[in-house]
Amino acid sequence: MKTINRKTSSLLAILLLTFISCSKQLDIAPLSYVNSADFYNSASDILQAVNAAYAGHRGVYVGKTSGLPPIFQLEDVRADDYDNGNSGDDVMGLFQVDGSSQWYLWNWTDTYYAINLCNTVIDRAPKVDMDDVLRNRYIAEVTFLRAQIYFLMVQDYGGVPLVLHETTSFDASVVNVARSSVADTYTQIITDLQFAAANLPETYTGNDIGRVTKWAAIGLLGKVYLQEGDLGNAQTSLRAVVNSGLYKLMPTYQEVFAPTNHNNAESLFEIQQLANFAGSPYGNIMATPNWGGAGAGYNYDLPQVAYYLNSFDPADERKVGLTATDPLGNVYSVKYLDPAMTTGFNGNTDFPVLRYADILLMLAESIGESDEAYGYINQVRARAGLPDISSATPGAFIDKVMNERRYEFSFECNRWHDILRMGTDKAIQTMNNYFSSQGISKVIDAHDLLHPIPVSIIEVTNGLVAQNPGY
Amino acid sequence: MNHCLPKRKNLFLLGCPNKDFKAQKMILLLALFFSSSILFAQKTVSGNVSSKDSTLQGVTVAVKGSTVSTLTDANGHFSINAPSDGTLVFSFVGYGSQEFKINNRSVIDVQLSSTTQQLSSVVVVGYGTQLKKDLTGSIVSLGPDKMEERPVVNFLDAINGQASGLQIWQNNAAPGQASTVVIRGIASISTGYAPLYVIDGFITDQANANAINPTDIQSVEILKDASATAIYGSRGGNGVIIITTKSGKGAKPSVYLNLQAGFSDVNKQDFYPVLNGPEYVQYAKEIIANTGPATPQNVAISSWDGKTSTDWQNQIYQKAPYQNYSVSLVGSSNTANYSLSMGYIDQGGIIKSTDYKKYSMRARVDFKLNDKLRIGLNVAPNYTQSKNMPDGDFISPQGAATFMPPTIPVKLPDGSYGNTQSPDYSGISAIQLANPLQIIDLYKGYTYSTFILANAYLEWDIIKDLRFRTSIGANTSNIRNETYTPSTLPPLPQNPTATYDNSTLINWLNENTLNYTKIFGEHTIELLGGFTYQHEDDDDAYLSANSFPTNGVQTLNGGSVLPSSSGTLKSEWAIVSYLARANYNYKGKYLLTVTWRRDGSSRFGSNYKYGNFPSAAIGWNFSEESFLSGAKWMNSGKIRASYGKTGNNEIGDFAAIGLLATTNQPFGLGSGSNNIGLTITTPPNPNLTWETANQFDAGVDLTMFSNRVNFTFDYYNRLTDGLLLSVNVPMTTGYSSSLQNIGKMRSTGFEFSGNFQVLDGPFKWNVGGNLSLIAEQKVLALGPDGSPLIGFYGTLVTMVGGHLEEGRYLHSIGIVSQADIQSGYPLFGGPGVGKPGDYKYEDVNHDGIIDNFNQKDGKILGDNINRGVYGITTSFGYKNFDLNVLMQGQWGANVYDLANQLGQLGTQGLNTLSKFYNGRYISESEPGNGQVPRAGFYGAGTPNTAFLNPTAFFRFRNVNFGYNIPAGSLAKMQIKSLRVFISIDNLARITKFMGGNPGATRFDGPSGGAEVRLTGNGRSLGNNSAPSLPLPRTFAIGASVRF
Repeated sequence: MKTINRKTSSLLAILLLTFISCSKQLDIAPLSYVNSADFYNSASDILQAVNAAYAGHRGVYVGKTSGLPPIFQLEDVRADDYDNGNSGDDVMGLFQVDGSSQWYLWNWTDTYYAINLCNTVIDRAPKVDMDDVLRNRYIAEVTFLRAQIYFLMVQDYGGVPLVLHETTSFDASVVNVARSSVADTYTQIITDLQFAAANLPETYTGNDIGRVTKWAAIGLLGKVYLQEGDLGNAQTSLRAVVNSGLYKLMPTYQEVFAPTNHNNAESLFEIQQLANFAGSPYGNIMATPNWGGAGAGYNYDLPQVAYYLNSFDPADERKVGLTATDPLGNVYSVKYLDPAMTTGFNGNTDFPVLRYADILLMLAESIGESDEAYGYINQVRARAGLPDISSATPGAFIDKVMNERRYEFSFECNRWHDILRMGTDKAIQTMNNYFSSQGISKVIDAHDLLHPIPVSIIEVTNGLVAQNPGY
Repeated sequence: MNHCLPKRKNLFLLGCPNKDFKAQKMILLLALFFSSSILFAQKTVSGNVSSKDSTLQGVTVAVKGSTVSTLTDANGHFSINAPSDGTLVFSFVGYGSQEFKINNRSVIDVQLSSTTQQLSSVVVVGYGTQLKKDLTGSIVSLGPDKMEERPVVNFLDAINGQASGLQIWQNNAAPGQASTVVIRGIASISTGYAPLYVIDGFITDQANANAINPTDIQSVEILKDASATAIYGSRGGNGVIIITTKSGKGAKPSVYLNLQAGFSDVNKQDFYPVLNGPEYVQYAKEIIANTGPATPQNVAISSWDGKTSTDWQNQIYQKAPYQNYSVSLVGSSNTANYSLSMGYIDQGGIIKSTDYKKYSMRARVDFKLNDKLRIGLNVAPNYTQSKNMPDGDFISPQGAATFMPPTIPVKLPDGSYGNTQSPDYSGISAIQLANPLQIIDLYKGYTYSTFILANAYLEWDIIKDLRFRTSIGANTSNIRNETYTPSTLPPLPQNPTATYDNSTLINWLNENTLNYTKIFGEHTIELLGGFTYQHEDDDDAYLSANSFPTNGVQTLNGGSVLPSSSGTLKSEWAIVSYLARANYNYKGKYLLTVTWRRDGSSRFGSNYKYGNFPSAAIGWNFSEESFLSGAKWMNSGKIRASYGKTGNNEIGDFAAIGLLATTNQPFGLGSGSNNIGLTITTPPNPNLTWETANQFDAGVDLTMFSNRVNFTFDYYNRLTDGLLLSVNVPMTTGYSSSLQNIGKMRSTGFEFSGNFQVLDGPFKWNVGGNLSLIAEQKVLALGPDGSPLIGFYGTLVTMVGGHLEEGRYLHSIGIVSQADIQSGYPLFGGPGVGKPGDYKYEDVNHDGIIDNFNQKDGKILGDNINRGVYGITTSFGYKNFDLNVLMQGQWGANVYDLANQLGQLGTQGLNTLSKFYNGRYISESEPGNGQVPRAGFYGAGTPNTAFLNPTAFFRFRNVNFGYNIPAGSLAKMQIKSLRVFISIDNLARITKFMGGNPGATRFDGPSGGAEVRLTGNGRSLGNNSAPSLPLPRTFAIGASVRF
């Protein structure tokens, strides 16, 4: 029996060894993906996470979830000058949407996806062994991106849930975040932008050009202050950008948006597009169904022809090549249409987020009526081929600034926020004047100045995230 | 009947050969062994055991009423000590068991019959075999007779209808296409529900099982309850199908030749009944009369020549040749068993230009190295290729043929094919259809598959009663799909497109088991312990190209490869398992089985890396009790019960870990250049784990009246828990949903099967059957707040308290009449929109308004779950002639037929089903039969119950008429046996189902639809989106020859 036992026990020992060696085999790396538990360990990992945050930020602008960008609905179609072409489809422009609209669901989904990518860098980079200057630059880049998104959100929805850390758990106590106040949201945005301004380089070289710079952060800070009504801080920030001497207006308006003019001298920050890799969908999104080019036309963000397009000064060179007319006579924007595009939704035209003309006009606005302010406005007018204006030109100064912005930033998602900046009464009046001029019986009130919160977030948090008044 | 029955035999695992056994020159290559503990003083009886066509090795020969048993050797010879007035019981896997009285004889030669399954035959179970008598689990065992002589290309087509609890849905009846297989109904909401497949001990999948040539199969076991499946742990939850191939046997080499040839065609009963030319034009006129002039109808009327009436469905089918040849060499010697086979099957598809070919080989050899060591190798390469047609609403030949207007001729006067874009007919349909013959001529689709399964083992009898077995094997497969759609295939303009998809996998399995069997007096114990490790690498390459400048070059080098739809993907999984089983048997009366498996899987979250899957079962052979000793009519009777826990690990390879994917982010001046980022796609989910099935099973097995009647009954109650569901989370997390194990559902059912040998003697008549009833299927929990899952445009609803994917529709209760309008019955669309002749719907909430189906007036009406599934077999024999018939059916399910609905949109110009023509409302004076609406009725796109299609059917699945040529006349030709037969599959069916195959459940939605799918495989049980392909009716003549 002893022999037997030896045999048996040696066999069991062999089996046991097999057990031990095999248990490790259960940790399998996904070869076509990267396991997030094995990532964020080096400077190079963090750089790729930063790039992902840019791509996520881009997703807010191109509509990552649905392929249809909500931003044109929220910021342009909502406003007076723009429209949706499909009959019955202009619920956004007619203020007929509520929180069940997919545009809001998509917008919040895109937005917080990007914010989580930013937060991942912010939480992970401090734990990586790397150069401190570079680390802070990386954190500053995504801090800017996060602030820019929250800035859009606070203007569109009021205070929003401020999520500032990477999601690592789905426990209800962690994931259910209530809305912050408007003031707290702005405070966070300003804190983020100040950090970015302090840690970002003034310029980049080569293939890094297009990343967020110190001046982009300062310029956006100026825009944030201006929107908040803090004219002094706005003026300080915006004047610093002008005084940097790094930016200038492109010689012609069309050159600003040329598909081969990425990150040109006028650009402080823009959404980067690249045909066949991260192509622009905007040409198709804005085209009409019968436009006749590659890919479908979606009829979104069409110009109001009589109300807006025909109100351009005939001498205004910004109208040149701005729109096209399809075979059925419908007008659509070609501002972002890449003429070289062969596959639909795949253009090479970048989308401007902050450019020098905006800096000049905002600086003028923050200074108020003065020769200096008219000087900045007239720089922009001169490029458009328009004569100078001055205090002698009829009209209130602020109306003259707004009028300039209205034609300078066509289809750039500035219009709704510009209307909002004029204050509740004037914003309501602007919209109601527009409705009555079009024979539309709609009359809006103060609650319409905020978009509704998507109902899905209210439902899933059991009402912890509150709806805006009136919805 | 008050004697003990033979003790346990065990395949694969060595126990304790006793002295008498050792005295024999026994070969244990397939490791059947026996044991005995009580010896009587008796004489030696010897003899030979054979089947109708060969000697049988490894047959258990037992002395009835004792524990003495032995096995036949390679020559089929046995020798055993037995009382001279005793009875010998012969049993063998896949064969019946037969008793022979010794009657003082010392030589007894026996022929075993494989035609009836009886209670004491041996069945294959997980990691071993058991006497059916000693089984405590619910297992259906199908022998080769259930698969032989069938004109089919895989074993699933052959066993369809032959086992209780098993449903096989041929969703695409083109030859060689995979069926959907479900054991005891679907019990998962969003993950896989396919059973586990085990081929000769190798755990694999359906694709590999389908690749086997059916003539290579010795037996198929379907493991249903937890006692049987828990030994497969986290993969046993959906049931297990074990396939055992034929092994070497017989002293002298035998050559088997199986030849079949015939043809397949379509049964015109399966056509969709559609309008002919005059009816189509008449219907178009009525649409105009009812809804005003429109282009399709105007063109339909003006383009018709007054006589063309094309039956498009008649154009696309062919009489397809069928051939099936296999040859095998089988034999054994003192030191080796061998079985070598080759097969070739060529089955043409009933759709013109489609076909399927299978080339298969298998070599199975076992060597005895010495008294204690055995090794063996089983290698089976299989290669298949098929020529396919596109599958979809309008792009499949049968889809286009159903919907193509009958006023268009097959060929225009200029010889070209007519279609909806032909100049004279342009505008006739708003949806452009290719002539189905153009699809057949121009579309190119091929699938090439190679499967190689190789498994080697070593068995070592360490000491008496203790056997070690280790095996290592690999399964490699490669499946390649190629398509080309030329620029000339309508609808034009067609961007010529080619796809190339190549998926490869290699799967390694190492299994190590120890088996110990001991008999102590009247107690028999058998212990099994083991460790296994399995690993799979998957590799998928997919390429797509379009803009081919010429159709002359159809490989992808001829076009522009599309980067966004080309790439490779790799995946991988591993599973580490510990398993154990104890069988205990007291006097052959009281049976106890306890099993346990512990699985560690790479797929599970880190907090649940390992799971335990136990089961326990008891059995009572009550017929052995003395109080039944007077009941001579009772041969055997058993009651059994089991309870256990199994898992479903089909949750995806990497669902539990956080995944980052590459993303493009351009920067730079000018046109910009690309940079790579790694972006979050899924969050880590350390709690994600298997779905759990807790199943109770109770059963009765009876054999009566000299084994002429046998009957099996089972009741099961399965509670599946931890069902994987996608739970909504606040999107402020950066995610919309998180996969969690929180759903729960219960299914219960009854299963019956039995066999009755009505007549024996010169005229033989046998009747058998099986019936499976689903008693209850109920969803018990869904997500944290229990909100229903809505699928397929809102037509399918899964809610707590209901069934899986119940249909939600408006309830049509007739046709609106003028009187209804006067009485103010609410109309769909509101007053003034709805008109007499429209569908009249139930106002479910009695608010005086007919809301849409996905709102207040939607009503849950039916689902696609069969309440009953049955199979009936009957066989007659007279002298050397026999006739066998297999019938099959089901009832209780409905599919919502989108094909039906697409077809009725006469306003679009597509052809319309006759169902919407005959008996239609024309006017108040011609109201029709009160069930069919007017042409162009309002709300045609709204799902309503009139489009439900009941899938109940009764089908003659197979008819086989055979003749065994008497042996005497063959001896001169060196032929040992010869049988000729005629076999007909799918001869006829009875069903109310319209269009194609009622046994098909299609899981894909209409192309381009914004379907809200469930997570996982995106199935929609309750919809049929396109005309399904009819089952081929196959006629074959064949011969089986043994040399």
